[in-house]
Amino acid sequence: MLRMIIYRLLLIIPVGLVLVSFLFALFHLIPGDPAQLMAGDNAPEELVQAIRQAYGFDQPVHIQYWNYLIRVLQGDLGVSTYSREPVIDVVWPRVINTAQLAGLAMLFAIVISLILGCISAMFWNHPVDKSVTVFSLVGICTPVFVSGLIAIYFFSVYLGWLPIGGKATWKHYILPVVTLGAYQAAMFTRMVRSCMVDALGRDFIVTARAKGVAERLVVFKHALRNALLPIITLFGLGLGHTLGGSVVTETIFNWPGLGRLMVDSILTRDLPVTQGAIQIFAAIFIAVNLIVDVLYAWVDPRIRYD
Amino acid sequence: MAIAKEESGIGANHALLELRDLSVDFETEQGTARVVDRLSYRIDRDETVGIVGESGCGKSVTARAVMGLVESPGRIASGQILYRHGDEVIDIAKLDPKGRQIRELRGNAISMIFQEPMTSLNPVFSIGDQIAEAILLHQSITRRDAAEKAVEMLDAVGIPLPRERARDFPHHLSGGMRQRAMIAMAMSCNPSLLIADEPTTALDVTIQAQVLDLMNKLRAEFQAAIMFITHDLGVIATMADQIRVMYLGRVVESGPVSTVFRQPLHPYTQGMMQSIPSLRGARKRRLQSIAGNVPSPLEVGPGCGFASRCPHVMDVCRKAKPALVSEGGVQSVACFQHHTHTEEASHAG
Repeated sequence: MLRMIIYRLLLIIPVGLVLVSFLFALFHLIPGDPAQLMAGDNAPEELVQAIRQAYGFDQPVHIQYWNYLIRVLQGDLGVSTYSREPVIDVVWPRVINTAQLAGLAMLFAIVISLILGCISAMFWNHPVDKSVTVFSLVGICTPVFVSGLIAIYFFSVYLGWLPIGGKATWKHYILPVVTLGAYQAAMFTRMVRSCMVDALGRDFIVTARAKGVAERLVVFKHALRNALLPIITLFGLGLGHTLGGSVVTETIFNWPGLGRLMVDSILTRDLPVTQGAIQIFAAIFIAVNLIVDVLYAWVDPRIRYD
Repeated sequence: MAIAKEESGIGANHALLELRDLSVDFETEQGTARVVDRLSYRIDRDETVGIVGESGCGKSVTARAVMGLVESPGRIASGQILYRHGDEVIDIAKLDPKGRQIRELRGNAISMIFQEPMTSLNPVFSIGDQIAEAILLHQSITRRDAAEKAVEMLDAVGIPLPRERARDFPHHLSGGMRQRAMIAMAMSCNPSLLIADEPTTALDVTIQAQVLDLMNKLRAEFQAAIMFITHDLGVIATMADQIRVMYLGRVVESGPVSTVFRQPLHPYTQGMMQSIPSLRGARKRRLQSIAGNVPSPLEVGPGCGFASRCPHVMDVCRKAKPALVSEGGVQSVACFQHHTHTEEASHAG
């Protein structure tokens, strides 16, 4: 188990290197002169030249690449060209906000889908199962920007129960978390259901019943533990979707998160911030994948590297 | 509480399990298939009863019924499964299949081993944990003691280095070892009845012999009755005291193994005997096969189920079902060649 974790940690090095290099190449392939962008359209040529020197844009590409790598390794993401603050100071509070939103939405989705999926599998082909299926299909087919607007209209405008947007009190959390979580919950429910139906049909379930194990434990211990293998992978992927989806949700609900920062920074051509936000997103992805792999090995003894 | 009455069959002191007119139906889209048809037989204490028959004859479903594990779309349509538990007689057919009472019997008084050792153990729990789980369910001992007992059981079924193996997961073990572990799990609570549903079918021949040896050894040690389900007559010969030959959900012939093997009375049993290759005797003899296929349980008519394949078929065979009637004491047969008792007549009387 420990060997496996170390192995996976070592794998982060090449993944991170490829990612950072790709980002570097991407931002150098974007048409336009970054120094000109920073200085503004009507800036004098001397200023543009000064910015070029200050940021090292006049250096050959491989030197720039090397300097960039060193800076990233030191955790220096540069300075925002828009607010002139260090990127890390701009990005970090947003990371916290997005982590709260995505984390709560994921928690909501996981709890709901495990409950509904298990119930659905236990009542396979029964009306209970069919109504869960209808619920989850509707959920999957409704994009966040539709369900979000409907929810805002109904709960905020019509009933006046919840705030429309922003992030001040706990009430502000409810709509974005549920809107973002419901879509994931619908996706996960389908998967949990089919994995549980599959697991409940296996031979070892009959063995467990023949031992005298209570039906509740047959479902939640013997079957669920086996069904979890594919489900955990899906949860990991789902967190990626949730982070991606948070861009839309944050825009709809005016949530001061990383997704909206990224959209804003692209609109203001604040390349260092865009770059920094993408790097943080990527780091979260890599961390989640690592956690999923470790969980996977913990749940399934067959894939431990021992 | 289930019924607790003393009657002839199960009332006898040595009787352990008695099936009375047990019928199991499966609902299919084409109609109701009666997979087990008014089956009656008894298993005594310490006795090994071999149930033989080809695929689909209802032998495994009978075993599941005794465990209370008949799954939808199947259901017990009628009949009784009387089991003597201590001083009382319980009708398993009437127990709630998910209730506490049947769960107290399962794995404890009646346990079961299965055909596929590769898939019958849960891949995510260690061997030791899975055996200890069965012990903890039925005995009031600590986790630690249960784990220790699990190691002892692994030792008892001849698994080398039992303490290490208890920590292993199913995928670390070979098929034969897994079946031994299954047997250890089944025997861990000293059951009075062990149901073995084709326990050696999926194993290769040498491993098969080892597992049969082990079961014979444990049978003496634990004094459990065994319901041994197989389609292999050779296995029956080495394991069983009594044989019940099943065809289309009914017993067509029963008796002590030695008597039935020496003198099979039912044409189906005779056909099966002739299909066994022999090391001795005439080398040039071709192996006989039984013509035709088993009819679907949906197509069963009023007559004997074997009539369409029987070499000695008579008119009466297509009109009525023969009853299982004793022939000369220990052996019984359901065939009009030997008597004229029909099922209906025997039920009326």
